[in-house]
Amino acid sequence: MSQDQKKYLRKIKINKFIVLLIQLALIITFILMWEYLSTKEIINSFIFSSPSKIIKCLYDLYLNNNLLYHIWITLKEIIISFLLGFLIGFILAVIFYMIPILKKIFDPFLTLINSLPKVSLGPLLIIWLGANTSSIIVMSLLINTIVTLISIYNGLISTDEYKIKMFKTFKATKWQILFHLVIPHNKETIISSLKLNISMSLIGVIMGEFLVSKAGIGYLILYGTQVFNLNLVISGIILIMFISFIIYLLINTLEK
Amino acid sequence: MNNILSIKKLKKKYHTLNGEILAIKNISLDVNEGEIIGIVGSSGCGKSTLLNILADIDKDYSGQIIKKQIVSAYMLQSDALLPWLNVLDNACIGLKLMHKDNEDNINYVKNLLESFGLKNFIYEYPNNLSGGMKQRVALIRTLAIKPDIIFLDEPLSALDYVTRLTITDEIYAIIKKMKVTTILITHDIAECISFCDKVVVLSKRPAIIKNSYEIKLKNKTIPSLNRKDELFNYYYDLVWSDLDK
Ligand SMILES: Nc1ncnc2c1ncn2[C@@H]1O[C@H](COP(=O)(O)OP(=O)(O)OP(=O)(O)O)[C@@H](O)[C@H]1O
Ligand SMILES: [Mg+2]
Repeated sequence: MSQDQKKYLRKIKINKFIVLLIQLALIITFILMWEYLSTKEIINSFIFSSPSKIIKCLYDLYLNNNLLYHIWITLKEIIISFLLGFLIGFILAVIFYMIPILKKIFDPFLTLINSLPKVSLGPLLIIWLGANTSSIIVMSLLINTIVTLISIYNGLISTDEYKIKMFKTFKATKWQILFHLVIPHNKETIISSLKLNISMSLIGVIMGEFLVSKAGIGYLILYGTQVFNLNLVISGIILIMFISFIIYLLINTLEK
Repeated sequence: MNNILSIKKLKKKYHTLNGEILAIKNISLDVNEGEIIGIVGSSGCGKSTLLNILADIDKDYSGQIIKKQIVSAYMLQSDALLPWLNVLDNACIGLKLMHKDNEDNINYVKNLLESFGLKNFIYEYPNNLSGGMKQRVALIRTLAIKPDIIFLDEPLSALDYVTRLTITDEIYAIIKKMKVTTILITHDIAECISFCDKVVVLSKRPAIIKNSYEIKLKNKTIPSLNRKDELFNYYYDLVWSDLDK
């Protein structure tokens, strides 16, 4: 490797390091400022809480209130609705791709459902399905299935025409075109729809837990609001941030 | 000479919401075994339409196509290589789709790749190949199923000018060497005359055959040398004057 190349690589490394450093500094400053302002009561520590109170709150939850159980409940709901939503969305996308007339028939309905704010269906779900986990999962499915369906379908129909024609010149069947061409051709679309799907599942599950739940992080936040324990509310929000961050890291490593 | 494909009074209409488009009015043509036929015609006159029909991709036409039990293969303007498969798997995709990917046939494809200058690229992925090499792989993919006849629809037109000049001889030399019956569509009259045994000129849409010429140039293996043949310009002028512009 030449000197110049080494220099160049070092420069990139240093750049990356500086960015990371500034990010860390920002977070730390934010936390310290928050702590300082709230212990000095410059901001109202009752409504704004403070990092130390949040840590204490999380610790108390862990000791007395089964924090891990709540996290597990939320995670479980996310995983179930993520898998189901992806599976249903993917299969529907393939069916619509294989049978174009079905897509034509259902197109307006899909648009309709997609544009409907799903929360508005919450009360109905509770009445139909009961105040339990299935309502939460269905709520989440309503959100993530259609997004998955639409993004995968759009990928499938934009498969290179020339390649399809090439397959046809070898007398390929519809199924061969699907499995040997269309699906591998859309690997990237499918991965990015997985990413989209997981954040949609998180949104859906928290929304569902706000509507009905006896446990879970959404439940903790809601409960905190009802008893006006804002330490609990903010702790819940931070937990959600944490979970989505970890999921994000997980998908990124999976992608590689 | 053995007749392997016979087109009789072929007619093709497209139906659209805005009405019918008559693409091919009346084409009759006999193709003999081993013959290389070039088809030229102005843009949009119905050349690709004709090949789609001959290759069984389009089955909606009137007239008759008489084919013996032959295997046909089709090569397009785009190389259409699959980026997730290596060169060998790409070249074998036709065999695989037709459930003929046995060891003998795969070895046959390997040999083709080796003898046409891709020996060191058999396990490379298409992204690492030059445009000319990709087109060669696409041709070998077409030849892999041991077709009795191949249809080429402007196989080199996606390449840049310099690559095109250098690869033309290579590609056409492969076809000559394999002695496979060929129907070639091209916009390039010079390319067509130097390579083909017969040039068919189509009218503008709706297509009929305006004229066809037996080409008798000396060099049977290296097309570009034919451009220096004294008869070359004679044929060029004939075809050029026939072409609807
Ligand atoms: N699917 C289709 N539906 C309706 N019209 C079509 C269709 N495909 C082709 N045509 C029309 O038929 C005519 C012939 O098309 P074709 O693609 O065969 O021309 P071509 O000779 O291959 O042209 P080019 O040299 O530009 O490739 C064109 O005028 C085109 O507009
Ligand atoms: Mg064409």
